[in-house]
Amino acid sequence: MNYFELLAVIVILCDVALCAASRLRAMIRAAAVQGAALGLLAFIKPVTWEIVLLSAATIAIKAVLFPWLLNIAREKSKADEPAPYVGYNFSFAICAAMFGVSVWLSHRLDVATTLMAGAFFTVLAGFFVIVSRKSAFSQAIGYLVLEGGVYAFGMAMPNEAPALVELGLLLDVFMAVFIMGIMVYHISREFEHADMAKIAFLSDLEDYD
Amino acid sequence: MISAAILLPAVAGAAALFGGKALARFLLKATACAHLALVLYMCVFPQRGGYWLALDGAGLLFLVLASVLFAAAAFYAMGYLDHSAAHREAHVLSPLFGTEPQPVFIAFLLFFLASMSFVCASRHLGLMWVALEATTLASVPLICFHKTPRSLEAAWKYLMICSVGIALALLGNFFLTAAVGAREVPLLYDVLRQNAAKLDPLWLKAAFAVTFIGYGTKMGLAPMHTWLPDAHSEAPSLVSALLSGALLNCAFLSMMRVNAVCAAAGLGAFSAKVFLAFGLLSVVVAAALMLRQRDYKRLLAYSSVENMGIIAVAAGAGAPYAAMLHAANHSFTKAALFLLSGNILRRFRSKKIEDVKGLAQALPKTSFLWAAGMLAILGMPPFGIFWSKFLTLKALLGSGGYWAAGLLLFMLAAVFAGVAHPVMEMLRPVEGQSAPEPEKAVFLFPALLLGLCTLLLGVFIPAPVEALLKSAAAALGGG
Repeated sequence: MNYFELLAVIVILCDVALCAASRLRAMIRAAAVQGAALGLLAFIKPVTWEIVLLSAATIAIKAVLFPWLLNIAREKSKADEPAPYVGYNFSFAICAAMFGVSVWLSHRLDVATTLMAGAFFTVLAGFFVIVSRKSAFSQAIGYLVLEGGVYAFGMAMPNEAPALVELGLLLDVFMAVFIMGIMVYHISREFEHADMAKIAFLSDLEDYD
Repeated sequence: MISAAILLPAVAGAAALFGGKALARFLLKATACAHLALVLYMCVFPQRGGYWLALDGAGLLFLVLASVLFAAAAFYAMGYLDHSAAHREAHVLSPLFGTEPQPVFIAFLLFFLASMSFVCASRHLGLMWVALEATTLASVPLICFHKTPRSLEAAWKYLMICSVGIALALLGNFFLTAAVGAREVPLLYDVLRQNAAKLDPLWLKAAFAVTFIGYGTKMGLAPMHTWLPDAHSEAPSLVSALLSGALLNCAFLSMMRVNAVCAAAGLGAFSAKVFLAFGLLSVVVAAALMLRQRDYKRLLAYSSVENMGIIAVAAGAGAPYAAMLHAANHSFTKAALFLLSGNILRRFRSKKIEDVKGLAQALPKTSFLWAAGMLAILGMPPFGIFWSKFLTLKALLGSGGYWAAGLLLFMLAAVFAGVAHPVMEMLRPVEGQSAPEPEKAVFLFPALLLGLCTLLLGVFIPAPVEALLKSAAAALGGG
């Protein structure tokens, strides 16, 4: 098992940890470890100064800055993580099923590397977290993980994407996370919690105020 | 020159963020005018693009639309911000009008313009993705400007759903890279089209499907439209006008770029079916929800879903010209209607249709424009929408889609019947209505000018506009 296989396995394990985590803190930690692994994965490409920059920026944003911001927001809001729509044990089962689908998908597309399966799995896991968790914090983490999966897919592809696009992409992710952070802050200040299941005023059919 | 259209609003936005209120307001007006002038200059003198940025007919058309709408919204914003500031004390009583510092709002408006111009001018599909995600990020702070619980919910929904959609589109970009394989073809839309025959069809198909879902989310096609009515109804009206009139077009443009590659690779029949199916579904879903709608801003929002559906149907029926014309008509009309809805909201302090009574007495000028705009959006001649809907139906019938044409016609009729009545009910005079208040020109002229554009497109399309529409259609028509 080479170095990149190991990183791919770490990425996969972080997804599992994320799906099964009940505490926000554990989710943030899983996402941070995954971010660091993704950053190191950039070296799978021929090493140029752009790749070094990309790797450093990815680690800085995903493994350091974002977990740090989220932890501050989490402590500030002191809100408990609400019970998810899908229970933790069942989440675990779904997680296993998603992994099966990812492996099948990567075989189907003739690029059956661990990293490719891991990339699909990460996209699915991120998506699952977004739809199954109620708090705005978890949903933001889900987005970050989903985006990490797409990034991993890019790394698994044999050809190179232009560095300018990669960096633009990273900038977008950075801004997205930044804006999500601000939104989470406003939401938890306005409502004194971040449970999006309880924040549902907008509807077509029901009467409102 | 092309990059100036992006850099100008971006730099002005940054300056507005750090400058004072007066500077920000000046910058908004000045940048809107300068951007419009620049874009019109580029229409007259076509620019040679570079590797990253280029403007073909389609990019130019949508850039013009964005720029015109932005200019209208910018002037409306002057009155809007004055009003918001004047009603600050009322914030405690009414959560509808309370506001954050103006410079931030103005700065994000300018960033929004910059990102939309970026989408229109991108030649590289990866860069276009970056730009489209930037439009989401620039518009989120605009939607929740008032920081009310409802607007926060709407903005969060918008941010999450569109970001996830766009992340899928990014996956689609990587699939495109896979379709290119080891062949050294960069992801430039025109180069991809020239080399379409060399692409791997399976990967290309997968790329189209994923990007369609991704960009379709942003464009507001059903069933991925769920963010749209919330964001459009909760945002300040001038932001709704830009979202509906300019942003949805940008998403459509991105989708058509990928579609053009598919068509050139011989997958046109497959992609046309996808466009038709999602387009018709959007029209049906929007029609169903418009009939029972009690909120006039949501009504306009669902009408955007409906019209995006019609544009998709036109694209699927192989009538890119009708799609372009409809996009232009819809932009002008819907932006005008959203700006007017802001006037109604300010006067009646409610978004419910039933709370608005005696509009013709209370706001005579607004109500006149509102009625005309409604007739236009519902497809009455002589407004332009009538013609673009007509051309779409004609193309559908011409390509043998009798069922689709019948369904579309039925839905359009149902919407007309269902919407015309409650809207006219808003206008009907009631007893005891207070005397009309003076209506400020700043709240009327932008909508009036946009409405005149729709009227013009319906009565007589000037030759240069016709040429622009044709070149846009040719640029996206595939082949």
